[in-house]
Amino acid sequence: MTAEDQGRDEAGELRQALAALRESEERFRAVLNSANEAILVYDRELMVVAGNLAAERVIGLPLTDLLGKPGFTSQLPCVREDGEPLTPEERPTRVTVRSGLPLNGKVIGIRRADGSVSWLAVNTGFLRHPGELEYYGIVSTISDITERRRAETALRESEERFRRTFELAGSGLAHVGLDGRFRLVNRKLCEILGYAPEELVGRSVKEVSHPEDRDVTDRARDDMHAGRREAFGVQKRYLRSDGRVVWVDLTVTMVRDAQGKGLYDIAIFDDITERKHAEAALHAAHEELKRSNAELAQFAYVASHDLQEPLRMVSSYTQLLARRYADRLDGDAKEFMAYVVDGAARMKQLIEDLLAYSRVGTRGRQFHDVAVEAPLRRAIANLRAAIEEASASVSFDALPTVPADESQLAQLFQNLIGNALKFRSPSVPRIHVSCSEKEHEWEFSVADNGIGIEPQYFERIFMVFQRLHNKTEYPGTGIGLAICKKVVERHNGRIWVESVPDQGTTFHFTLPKQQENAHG
Amino acid sequence: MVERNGPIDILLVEDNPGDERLTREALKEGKVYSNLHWAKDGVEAMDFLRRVGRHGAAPRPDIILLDLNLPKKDGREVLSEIKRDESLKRIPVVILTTSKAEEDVMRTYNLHANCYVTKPVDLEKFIVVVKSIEGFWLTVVTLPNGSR
Repeated sequence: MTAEDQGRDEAGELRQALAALRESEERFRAVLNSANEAILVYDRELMVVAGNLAAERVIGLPLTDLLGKPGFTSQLPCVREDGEPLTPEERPTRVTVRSGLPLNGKVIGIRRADGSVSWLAVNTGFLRHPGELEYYGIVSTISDITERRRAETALRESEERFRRTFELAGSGLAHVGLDGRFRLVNRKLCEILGYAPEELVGRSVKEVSHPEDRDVTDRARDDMHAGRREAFGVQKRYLRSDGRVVWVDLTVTMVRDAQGKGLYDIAIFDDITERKHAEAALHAAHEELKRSNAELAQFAYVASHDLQEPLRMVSSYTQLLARRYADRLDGDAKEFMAYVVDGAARMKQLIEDLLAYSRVGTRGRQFHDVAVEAPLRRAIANLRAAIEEASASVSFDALPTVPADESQLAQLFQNLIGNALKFRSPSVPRIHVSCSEKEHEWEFSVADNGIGIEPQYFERIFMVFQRLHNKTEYPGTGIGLAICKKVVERHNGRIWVESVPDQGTTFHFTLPKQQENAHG
Repeated sequence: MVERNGPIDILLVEDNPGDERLTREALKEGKVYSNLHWAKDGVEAMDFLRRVGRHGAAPRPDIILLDLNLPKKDGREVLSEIKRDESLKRIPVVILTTSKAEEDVMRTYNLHANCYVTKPVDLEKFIVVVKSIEGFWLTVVTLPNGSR
């Protein structure tokens, strides 16, 4: 082989080697450029000597701007993970060289012109020739983790939000495993049941349920787990750690995975113990009221009967004495006996009036549509003698039809007109009944030109047995207006009075246009 | 009008001796020509009407005055028994009540009493009532079919 040949061969080998090198480099470059992560290669002076296409995208600078420079951290405003500016000493390449160890997942942020931050995770490694300890460069791979971090932050915030909501909820909340044991409990639930969180978690719900209510949710829960219902609600009792019973309004739903397999129950516990006690107390009070009303009605009946028996004996036998022995009794005896008889008669009247008053409520009839003129006419007819005796004029306007107890309306008008006749002034009594329409009710007025009432008595006149006048001036027990008030109130109306002494009195009362439900 | 020869036989069913005596006195004061028979309770009233035991010779009363509140068997039961008995149901029955309230309650039972009278506190009025019983009886017995 000649030197020339040799030289030719060497040149050929070199060409071949160069071609192979170029091929290898191109392959390497193709691999680099196909990578999704940015890759930067630094020389020993930590200047960028190579980079891939992804580096332009991830870093946001063209490669030409990066080559020959100490990486992107020198050209772009970078921050540490905690948001503080990144110092040159903290650049990943310098840290790597200083420590002699590769970096893994070092987080660096690039502050963009629009104020946003791109977060990057940087890995570094030493480049060494085979068999050499000394490195000749650094390679750095950089991935954009902005999205991942955003998702992580969102998840963290969501979890925090859930945790706080769960923990601070006004209702007791729990996650209950399919095994029926508490997995997660909040503060309120611990308060309701009187346990510490660690005492509840792992404990079965049945264990803290009231023995009688232990199994009340079994069927509903089975149905829910089997997918036959979404959720259920029930009121049940639990036993607190201190042994007290607590009433809970329980709502349960469940969480399933994407395949529909049940994971756990979410249970909401609302403490309704006080409400239950209030309900019970209300019920008891209602029962007591019913009982006492019935007793009162019974009392009125007994009073009417049993009180009158002896009264009749007193009165009748006194009168019999007077009748049979009149000629043997002196004036005093006759006067005393007259007081006995008068007292008995007045007591009988009181009893009858009290009974009439109590019967407004207990013996009232159902409401029907009543043309109000009819009971008014009946009242006027009943008072005919008194009206004629007083030469009074009684007039009325057109009156509506209302749902009412007709005989009680007649009683109402009779008492009001009777009152006007009784408390008349020396002038000719004029009594006028009128009516005006309001939104939901009719307002009736019975006006007279009588002696009037002082304003301080406006309330008192409607009370049982309250009288403003001496019995000898104006007889009566003082029940009439009390009965009026009771009749109006039974019809869900109001009654009041307006009056100017010596000029006249007007009684007003309202009757609703509709009654919610008829009274029996 | 039918003229009567003898006194009216009145059966008073009443537990209060004071009332019995008062009725007797009122009949006397009202000059009602009558025999007052007194049954102290509902059981005795029925014995009298059916001539049971010591009432074997009891006359058939022309009218019955029936108080409602009686021991053993109350006035309501007595009235209903009388009105169910073919031989007794034509005897007029006057229900004596103490109050209008009692009368109202009784009316709801619809027991076919012939008349309700509330016992007055006033003796004069009671005498009027007792006298009216005589008139009432005469009216009832002159109706074509007697009482119902």
